[in-house]
Amino acid sequence: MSLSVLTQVYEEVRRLAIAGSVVAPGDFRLRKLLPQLEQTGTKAPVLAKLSEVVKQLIESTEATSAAALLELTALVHAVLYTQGETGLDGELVPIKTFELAGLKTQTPASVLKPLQDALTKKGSGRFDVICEAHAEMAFHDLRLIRPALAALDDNYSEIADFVALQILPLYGDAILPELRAAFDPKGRAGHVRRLLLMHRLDPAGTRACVQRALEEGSKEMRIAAIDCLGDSPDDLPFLLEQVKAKTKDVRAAALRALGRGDADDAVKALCDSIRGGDLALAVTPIRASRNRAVWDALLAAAERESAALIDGAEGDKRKLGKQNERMCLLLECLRGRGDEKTESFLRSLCERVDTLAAVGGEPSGKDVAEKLVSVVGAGPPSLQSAPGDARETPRRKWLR
Amino acid sequence: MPNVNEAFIEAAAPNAEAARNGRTLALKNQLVALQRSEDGTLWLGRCQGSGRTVYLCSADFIDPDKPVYRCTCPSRQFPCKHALGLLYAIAGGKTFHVVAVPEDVVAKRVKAAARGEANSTDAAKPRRVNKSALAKKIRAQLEGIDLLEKLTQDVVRLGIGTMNAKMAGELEEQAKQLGNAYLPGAQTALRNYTTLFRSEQGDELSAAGREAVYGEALDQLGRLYALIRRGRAYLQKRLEDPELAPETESSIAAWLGHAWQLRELKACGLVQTDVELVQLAFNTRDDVARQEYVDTGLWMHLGNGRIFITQTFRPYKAVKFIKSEDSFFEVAQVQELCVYPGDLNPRVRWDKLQVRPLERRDLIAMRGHARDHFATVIKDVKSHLKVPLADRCPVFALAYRRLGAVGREFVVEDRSGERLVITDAGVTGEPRSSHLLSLLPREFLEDQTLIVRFRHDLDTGKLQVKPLSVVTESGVIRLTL
Repeated sequence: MSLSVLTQVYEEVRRLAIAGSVVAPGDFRLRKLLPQLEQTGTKAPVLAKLSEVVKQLIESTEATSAAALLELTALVHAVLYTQGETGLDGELVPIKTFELAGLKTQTPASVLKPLQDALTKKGSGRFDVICEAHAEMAFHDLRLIRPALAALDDNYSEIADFVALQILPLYGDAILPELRAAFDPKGRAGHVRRLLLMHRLDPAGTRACVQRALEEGSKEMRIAAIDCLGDSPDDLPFLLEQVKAKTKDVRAAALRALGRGDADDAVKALCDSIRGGDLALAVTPIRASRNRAVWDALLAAAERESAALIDGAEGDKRKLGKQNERMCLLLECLRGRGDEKTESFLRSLCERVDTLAAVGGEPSGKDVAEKLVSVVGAGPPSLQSAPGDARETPRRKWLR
Repeated sequence: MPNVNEAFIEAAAPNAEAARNGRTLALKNQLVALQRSEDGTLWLGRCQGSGRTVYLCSADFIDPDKPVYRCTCPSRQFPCKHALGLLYAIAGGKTFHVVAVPEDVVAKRVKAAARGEANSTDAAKPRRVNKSALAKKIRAQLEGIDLLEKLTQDVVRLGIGTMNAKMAGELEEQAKQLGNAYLPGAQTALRNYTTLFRSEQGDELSAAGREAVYGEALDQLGRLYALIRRGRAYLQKRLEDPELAPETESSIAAWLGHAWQLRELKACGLVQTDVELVQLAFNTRDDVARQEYVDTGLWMHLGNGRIFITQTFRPYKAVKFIKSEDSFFEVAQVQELCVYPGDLNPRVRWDKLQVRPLERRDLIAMRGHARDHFATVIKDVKSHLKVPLADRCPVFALAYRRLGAVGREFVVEDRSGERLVITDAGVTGEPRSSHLLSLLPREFLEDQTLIVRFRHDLDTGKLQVKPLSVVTESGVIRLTL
């Protein structure tokens, strides 16, 4: 059967249906197809029937054109449905698969559908649905991967951040091709999350994307890209330069990146931040650092600041406030450490907690005491048991 | 008494929210005075609700296939959250004190048994048809068909290009008369056309969006035309012979909006007995044209491999009171399966079912029913699709040699090298699935069974398949819902 003439008739029917059947009577383009149809109709009876119906449409009036066009539509469609093109030539190669251990597709629709909607649609109450499903391990279903990837661009940033930090890392390398394909270095929030996630999943493979983000990206994107540096020694000069940048967020990102390395210059930059004004920006990398020099500098600074506070030599409330603030930050840097020196320092500080809590200023010594309780509470069990009385003191006396 | 566990309760709940509320009541120990009958058929509890009086709720398993949940609360959901809470208390192993079955429950049981008997006697009796009323209804339907013809021809005369969201709204207003003429199916068919010209939010489509729907719109008009012709012939035939039962050879009765009752299907002999079914896929979608949510299940008959569909329609207005269906992962043993007239994948319904776990032998049986010669499947699909009112997206089970890629397209290939291209285009509201193929374990890409939905795109002229599930010897991997 001549598929070409059939396709041409379908195109004409489509055109006339869009324009309206009133223009169909006497249509010259249809008329031009008639001889061809009649000729092929001698071989295929269905085309002969088609040419008859086409003729009826051409000869119809304004009143009868609609029925004639519908008749022709029905016939053309019936024939076309028998001519569907299937198959595809070419070399068939195996699908590149990313096996996801432990993933299933047995989540019932009553759980899956609301979750897919929460990830892809708008409206209130979605965050709770997602958090609840995450707690119940519902995301171990591969049908949720694409909706979760789409949620990276959610306007509700809490959802997008939660998905980027808690859910998508579950799928590992399998989502990298999708992330790479969708990543736009000039993009904003969702693409920043994509970059950070790609770096988290595959730091070496994301190197090119990080470079592009540094060169082409917005401020937000560049900060994220700086955060992704530090894995290569080549990054060091650039990061050291960024530690002195005017923008606070850039300095913070550079410090975080430097915290991942152990190079002398990186360690020096972190130690400088302990002594300098960027301590607030460096809390996370300092806390994460396992470098002896950084630890020593941190403890030395903490001992110095605490001694100054306990001495009570400073009378200016503004200056006291600043000292208290620094002390809180230094204690925050010590959170989670279980080495002997830190433990001994915190123990001795707990013994002087009453004096600390009495220091004035805004934030006050009471805030320092609270921070101390909180840091000791998060410390190793030995630390929590020994200074029990001391820990109780600020609670009893100052927190009430 | 059935095994009351979480799965049982979730299946009994009208919706997920009711189940969640019931669970909360049980967790907060809101259900008190827990009692049960000695034989374990009746379970009772009391729950303080928002009303002044305490609600008395019970779960009666005297007929294990048809548990009865009673509660004195005013909720119109059955079972209500209090009865579900009681079930959670049973599942949670709470202590129930043994008591005698209360007299009022005994009376209710007697009444229910009598009602059941009366119903079965009624069902056995031949139904008397009011012929004059039926003739009047058919005449009204014929007038409705005339109206549908007029509306369709008006649309064609003006051209699809002039159709916009406003005109679509006006056309829908006129189409309401079809509902009054006992032709809700025809009204839906017309709405299927008009909804094409609105975005999901009901807004006007962009120029590119309009261009994309013209092909589909033309197909819908072709179907409306076929519905008018076939519907008129069918109704005229019935008018001449009012004793004539609805046609069972084709789906024309359902197209016009005839709501088949199980009794009618049984009377027409459209019943299969002792059937075992396994669900292949499930989908729930919002059908704007019908103004209903539609829960659709795809099932395979373990005995002969035929693929059926189940559909539950939940009108927007009654959505809280109709139980939504859910995915089903076991084997449904159905004593009487009522099969609707029609298509390759006919609709089925049943009254009662029993459940047994899905075993490896079931999966092997399912795989045995898959078609391994794509060329004959394609031929069958094409001859099915040429029928104007046929289901445009029939479902088949294909036994494939391998799944692979040609360029950017995914392809499924049989043993003889015949290929079908994989697409994501299927029916509206069904999630995309082709991307999941690259997440399957490597061994599933060869010599397995793929459940597919065929779709012919008139604009491109391509007949392609959308993957719905993969059946392996270890389980059914669902790619949609």
